[in-house]
Amino acid sequence: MKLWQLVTITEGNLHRLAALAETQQEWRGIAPLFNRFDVLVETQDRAALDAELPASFLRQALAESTKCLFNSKDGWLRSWPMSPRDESLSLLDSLDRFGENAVFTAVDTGVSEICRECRDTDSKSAGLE
Amino acid sequence: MNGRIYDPLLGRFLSADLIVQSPASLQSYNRYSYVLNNPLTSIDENGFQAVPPNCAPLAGMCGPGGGVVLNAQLGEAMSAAQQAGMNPQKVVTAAMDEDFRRNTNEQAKEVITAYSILGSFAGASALSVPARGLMGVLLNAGVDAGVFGGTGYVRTVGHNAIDGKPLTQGAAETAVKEGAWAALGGALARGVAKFFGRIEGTAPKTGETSALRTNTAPPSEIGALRGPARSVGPGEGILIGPSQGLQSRQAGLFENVKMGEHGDKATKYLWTVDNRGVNIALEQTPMATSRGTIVHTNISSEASIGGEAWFGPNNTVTINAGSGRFGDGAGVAASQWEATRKYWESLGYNVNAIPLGQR
Repeated sequence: MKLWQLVTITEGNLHRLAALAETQQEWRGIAPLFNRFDVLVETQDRAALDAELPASFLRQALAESTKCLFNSKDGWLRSWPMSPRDESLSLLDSLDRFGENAVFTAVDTGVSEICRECRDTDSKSAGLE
Repeated sequence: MNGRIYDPLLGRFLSADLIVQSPASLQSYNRYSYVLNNPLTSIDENGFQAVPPNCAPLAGMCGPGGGVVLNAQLGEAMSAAQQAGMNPQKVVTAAMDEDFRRNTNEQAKEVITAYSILGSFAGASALSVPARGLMGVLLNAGVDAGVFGGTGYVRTVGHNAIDGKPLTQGAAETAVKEGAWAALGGALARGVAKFFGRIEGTAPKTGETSALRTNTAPPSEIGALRGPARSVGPGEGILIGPSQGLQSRQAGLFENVKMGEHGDKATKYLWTVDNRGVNIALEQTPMATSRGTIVHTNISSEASIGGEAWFGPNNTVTINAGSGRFGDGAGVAASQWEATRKYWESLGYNVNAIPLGQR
């Protein structure tokens, strides 16, 4: 996941991300990026903004998030439950099961497609059709 | 007849009619015949348009029985267009592309075809006085009908015409460059058609789609304005304007949109509904945000709803409520979504609305 994507889905909690980066030697190089995030955006420093974060840092950052995503089993991962039967997942669980693009898209726009084949078979049981 | 010369011995006009009066009628394509070869039911007072004999051109009004009003002005405009050596085809075609095709009201089509010729002044350094005067009349009708809320150029050109100011070559060239003449042709057509429709009651038949679209504020069913559901990052609160591709509509189609397949990133538009109507901008519009492109809060600081859109051929649009700030990610009721779909349709689109919670 890119630097800007993590900042987006953690709603710009830059101080917390910078503090987290300071906790591990291998992450310390990232901390200044969070501290200078506004400048990076203003100057459109794409090399920094689009830098891929270490997987270990991403996992820890998502583990500390209280956000949930919902797997409705009709092929979509959502940021809200469409049905009481939807499965609630932490961001870290969602990352492990569906990957970082699905997590980012679901948090950013509300919905991410995670299983195209599931649409026809499960949409009726999910009460969507 | 002040428009064309009629030879009573031949029973024919000596010059061709500029107007295809009834595109569906083969008689319309004989441009030298008198009243579509039907003199028992119609008369022609200016050489350009057959009307029923009970249509009295008194003060621009039409009596019961229907027909065309403002015949004198029509003849004047046609004469002016001829004098200026204009080619009406380009703008007529443009107007048809913009608005004509989706109109199924044959009576309105005739009026639109005739008056779209007035949009053919592209490239002329200035309008002739009679043409300008008539343009003012028609634009007044359009303003009265409330159809000029959109394009700035249309508004500027229209107001200049109403005020009797000449259109400079520069303004004309800029307007042409911006594609505004096509919009003007369409807007004129809509305005005049609306004007005529109001007088003559040319309401579309049941099941027909009317081309007579007036500005309509978003209905309350779409929902109240609300702020973004998520925090706004650096640069994401800067509102873009028309120079960056923002378009807002309460009536009529958006202009010069990129067409693309549903899901295609390069042709994805972001849209919102707020007090201005439906607003769109290409998602890939550069902006100093963390992602380098715009987000929904660059279009509206507050909105009732928002999402993503892809435009296709034949005035189709596919929309979803994909916005973490204003869309289903922020909470949208099914009734809101249905009202939103209808509002998009009121602009003139054939709308494919993706169900809430899907993309």
